[in-house]
Amino acid sequence: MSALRILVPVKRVIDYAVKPRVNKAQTAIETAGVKHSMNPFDELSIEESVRIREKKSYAGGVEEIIALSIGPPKSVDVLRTAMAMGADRSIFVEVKDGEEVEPLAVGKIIRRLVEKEKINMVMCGKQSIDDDSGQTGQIVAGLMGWGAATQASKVSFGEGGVSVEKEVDGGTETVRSQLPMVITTDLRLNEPRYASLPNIMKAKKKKIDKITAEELGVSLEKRLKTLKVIEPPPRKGGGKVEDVDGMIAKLKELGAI
Amino acid sequence: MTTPNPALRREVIAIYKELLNLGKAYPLGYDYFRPRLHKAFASNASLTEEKDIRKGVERAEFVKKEIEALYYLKKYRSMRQRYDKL
Repeated sequence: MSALRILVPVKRVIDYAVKPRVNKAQTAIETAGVKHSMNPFDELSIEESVRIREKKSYAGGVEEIIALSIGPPKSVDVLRTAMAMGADRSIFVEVKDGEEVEPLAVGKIIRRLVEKEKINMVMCGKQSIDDDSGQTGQIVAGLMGWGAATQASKVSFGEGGVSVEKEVDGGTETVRSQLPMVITTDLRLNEPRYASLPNIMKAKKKKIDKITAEELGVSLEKRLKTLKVIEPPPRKGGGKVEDVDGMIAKLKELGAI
Repeated sequence: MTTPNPALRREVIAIYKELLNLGKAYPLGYDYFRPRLHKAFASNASLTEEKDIRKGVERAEFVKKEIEALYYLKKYRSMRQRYDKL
């Protein structure tokens, strides 16, 4: 039984607690000087990979956990966090600051690296909190011809293969597949650990290999053009009514009854 | 200042540094957190008995776990509110 070689793509996004602001030109979200951190769903992916290793959930063991990031120069901070949480090493595909990479291009880069690094499991977040595409995991599976178990809330290994409990509307659905496969992580999969200072120090010694999209033979050409970015309309306040008659009158007024 | 137990001193400094690092993400701001953390440790600077210092370190470890739980819950609840709409 071969060991797991897990690739975990992680993305540097605007921190979840920051309120995003649209730039003056209405073309994008303002990112200059804004706090950034690892996509919360990606934290779940790193945590799950490390837990599979620590708990020895898979009989073949975990040979390597490789973190990958595609983004501007500051993305290395996110890779350092991933390694502080337990990833063994990282791969960094640098792009220009402000340049957006579409999920299809990300998927193609991941495909090349899966082939290069002999990966048998890709564990990614179900979506990123900035563009919310939710496509990367599925695209990778499609490109590789692998199965994809998305919105995972539980991952277990057994005689029959890899069992994944997925979160679906109204409950969960369990699927089983063989390696190699793609798993995308959902909120209730685990509780990501905080990187302690000693681990952050240790992570500084771990390797980050840099490679470009060109070297991987992947074009970052965009297929979509963003025309406009606007904030959602402000919430209209509710109105108060005196009594039940007042409420019925108001509903009639609004044409609801 | 002569320290009777340098290993224990290192432990105290280590937990202080961990808490300081955690404080960088504190909702009310690092500037709120840092002086309060410093005061909390400084008020116990006169302790000499090993068991008292140990108790202090344990309390600091407890506070660290509480802060980590606070951060996790805040993030979990925000993410759930945004992404769990059925």
